[in-house]
Amino acid sequence: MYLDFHAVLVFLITGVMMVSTPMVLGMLFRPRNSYKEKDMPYECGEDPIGGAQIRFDMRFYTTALIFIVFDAEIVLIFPWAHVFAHHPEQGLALVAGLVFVTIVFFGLIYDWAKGDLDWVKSFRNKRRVQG
Amino acid sequence: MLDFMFIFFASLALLGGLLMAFHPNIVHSAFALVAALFGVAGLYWTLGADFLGATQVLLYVGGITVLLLFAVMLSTRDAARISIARYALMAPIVGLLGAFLVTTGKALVPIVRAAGGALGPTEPTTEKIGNLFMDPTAFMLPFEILAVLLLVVLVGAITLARRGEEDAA
Repeated sequence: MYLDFHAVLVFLITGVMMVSTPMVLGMLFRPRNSYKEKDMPYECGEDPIGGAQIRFDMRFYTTALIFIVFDAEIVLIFPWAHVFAHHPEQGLALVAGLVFVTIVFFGLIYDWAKGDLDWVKSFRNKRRVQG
Repeated sequence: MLDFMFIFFASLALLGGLLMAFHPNIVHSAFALVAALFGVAGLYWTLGADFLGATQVLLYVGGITVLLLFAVMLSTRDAARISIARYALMAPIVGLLGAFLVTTGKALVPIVRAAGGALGPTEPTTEKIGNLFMDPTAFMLPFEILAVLLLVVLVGAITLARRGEEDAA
């Protein structure tokens, strides 16, 4: 059982090493002459204005909500995909999976039709109210 | 090896949880929560629940934390300075609840063994879950009902989130 996760463990360790090794090496070798301008966040040469931890747009949150629902869908569809190729009743398995995906797809259509996937929806609404 | 993995993941979960509770910056707390949730996923793996562990990583480490970070970023700056000391009373209550769960869990072990249930590491579970999902006499209907639940969540959560947005505007 644990052998199944050895690959995951190797990936994890390699990933951590690939990030931490340059950081530790840099810490050991780089010269230490830090000043204010150098510690500034670098964004294509533009000087940053204001703090980084400001209030974000609500639309990010709705997008994340939609993402989690489809994340859950993928998690639930995974056991289905795992057994599908060797399943004795493939037609039944296909119908079961299709019904599952279709039901969730209706939610996507609903959000799409309501304009929740639309980034500039609020602008459009405001214009409609004003006009 | 198993003991080492258990100790590694258990301490990851504990240290992450402690860091989350006591770090003054709520954004850093959210990142500490990632470590704690990942430690819990590792515990699932050491117990032989591979599907549950992968679900934990995908949904909690990958999804819920993003949602949590967005929630922090959506709130005002003052909300980011909530002190843990205000909730100090909660700590003994949660601790007692945890101790209760651990003791009842330990009491359940001989009962499950007597019923012929397997405890601890066995074989991969994903395939079994998939076969049960595809079996009309077993869990095919609950599988499709889960899709309906996801549909309700998709419509309901967006509707609620949008309503909050309109109130704020």
